[in-house]
Amino acid sequence: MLWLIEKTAYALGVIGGIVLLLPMCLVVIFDISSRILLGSGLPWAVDTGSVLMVSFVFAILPWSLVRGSHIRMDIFYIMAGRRFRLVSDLIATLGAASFFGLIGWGAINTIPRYLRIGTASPNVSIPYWPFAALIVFVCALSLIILVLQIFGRMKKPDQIPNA
Amino acid sequence: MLDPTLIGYGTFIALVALIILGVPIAWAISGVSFGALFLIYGIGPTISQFYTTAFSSAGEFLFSAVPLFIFAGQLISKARIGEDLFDTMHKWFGRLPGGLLVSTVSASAAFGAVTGVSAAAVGTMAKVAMPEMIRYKYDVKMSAGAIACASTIAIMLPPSLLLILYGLQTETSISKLFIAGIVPGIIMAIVFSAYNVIRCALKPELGPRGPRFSWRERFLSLGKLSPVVIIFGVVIGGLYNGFFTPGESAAVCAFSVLLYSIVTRRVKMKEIIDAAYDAVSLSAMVFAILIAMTVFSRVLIATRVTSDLVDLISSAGLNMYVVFALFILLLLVLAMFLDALGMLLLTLPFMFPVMMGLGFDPIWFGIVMVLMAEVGLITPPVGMNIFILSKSLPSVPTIHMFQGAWPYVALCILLVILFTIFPQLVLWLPNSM
Repeated sequence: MLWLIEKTAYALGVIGGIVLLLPMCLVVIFDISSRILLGSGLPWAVDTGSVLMVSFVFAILPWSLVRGSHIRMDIFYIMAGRRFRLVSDLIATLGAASFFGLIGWGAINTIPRYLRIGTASPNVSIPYWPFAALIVFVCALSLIILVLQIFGRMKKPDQIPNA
Repeated sequence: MLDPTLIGYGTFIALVALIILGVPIAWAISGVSFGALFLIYGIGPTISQFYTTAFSSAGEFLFSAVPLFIFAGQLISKARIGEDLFDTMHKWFGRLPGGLLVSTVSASAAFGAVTGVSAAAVGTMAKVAMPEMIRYKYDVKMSAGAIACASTIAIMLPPSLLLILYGLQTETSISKLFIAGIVPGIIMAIVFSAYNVIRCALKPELGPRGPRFSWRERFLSLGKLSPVVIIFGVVIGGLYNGFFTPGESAAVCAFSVLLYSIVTRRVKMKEIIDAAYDAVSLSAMVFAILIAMTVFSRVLIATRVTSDLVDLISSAGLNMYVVFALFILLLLVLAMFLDALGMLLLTLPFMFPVMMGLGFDPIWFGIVMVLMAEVGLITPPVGMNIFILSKSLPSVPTIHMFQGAWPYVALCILLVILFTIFPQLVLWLPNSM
């Protein structure tokens, strides 16, 4: 189970993150070339770029959670005792849970509306519901990671090399 | 029902407390934003605010500039462009007193012209410049200080990740911010170089003169600058002439560097993947903060904390420069404890409206903020560049690196004063667009 969750987070980070980086770059290059050479941009470029970005942003979050890649003011945290760290970790988990929980819940609420109305991107009508579904999946995965980390079932970030 | 303003102040105090506790900034902001929005609107609208903000923020194409600029920076580092830059600068400036230090500063500035992050620059310069400095018996403190601090020029010169984030958060023109960073970046490089030359001229054992190179060797070395000149020219020229937007410039920069690296066979596939991996890792942190911060800005609007703060300062009748000086002092303190990104994103929602209310220019303020964020990269105890440097140079004690960095902190403060007295130094170029 743990193995599966870590691998899923990693796969999302690699596929969603690294693999999407190049298409994002290429979409822009095609759009600029089209604007300069043909006089008008590609109508699908803005929409594609936007949904690629949504996928990219959310795909990389669970792996960053596993790696514990965070920006924090850790000076007192490093110097503090075990109890202080425990309180800090617990609050951090609750904060992260509010982030993923609320966004995921919002996405669950929104998918039926997206499907009913057919909400899609403005230019080439890329439907939004698959991306909301991706957000639900990512948020659920992140919440599981948080629960496992707080109960000590998953390696703490500082136990992972290069975290 | 609780007074929204009261909730706002409570939120602010809770946020500061959580950050001091060591809670990651993104989760601290998210937690307090949830609490505040829940108290004001209830659970339904809070969920809706979180989701819609996250979806619209993540879909903002300008966000793509973050991973793409980091990717380009990492790739440049792996493509050994830094080595070429240092070699060229060494041939031109190596003969000066403290010539290797001047070469490091100028090579870092050139490096900064094609990358938006300083981490790549400091890692590269540590590997390239430090062995030479050790060979010529340079003072270790001065050498380490110069490498760590010169790399901060990278985030002032366009393309700059911090300027993009500032523009995103404050809705200021990123193109103008980029153009505005050029003159201050060059001035920084000149001031840092002059400091090294003067100190080493007064005390030659700190940094002896290097070997003399012929003019032919010097001019031939200029050829190694060509990739940097071309990439910088394409990115900034394209921006200046309106061929593409700042968000798109990141893709152009990343694509140009990738193309150059592949064509010249300077990087292997593994190194490209490593660069992408670094970009993804750092971007995840930034995105989480950006999304949480966008939700938090809604809290600030709903609770009217920022507008109250602006009214309070306006009604206090304080001189605008006194308020500015107090902010600089606060930033200096924060710079000691927070990472540059964290400091910038955390303070902007409060400081920017106040500064605009007092009549300061948003472009000018952006440059000053980035300059202060640079200070955050080199001040103890949380100087990110110093820690990157200490990983590359484990034999040099970290305390020596911080000691070497202090003069540059003072120089940065002097530059803030200079740009405050002469704002035209920052604004004339963007105003000519």
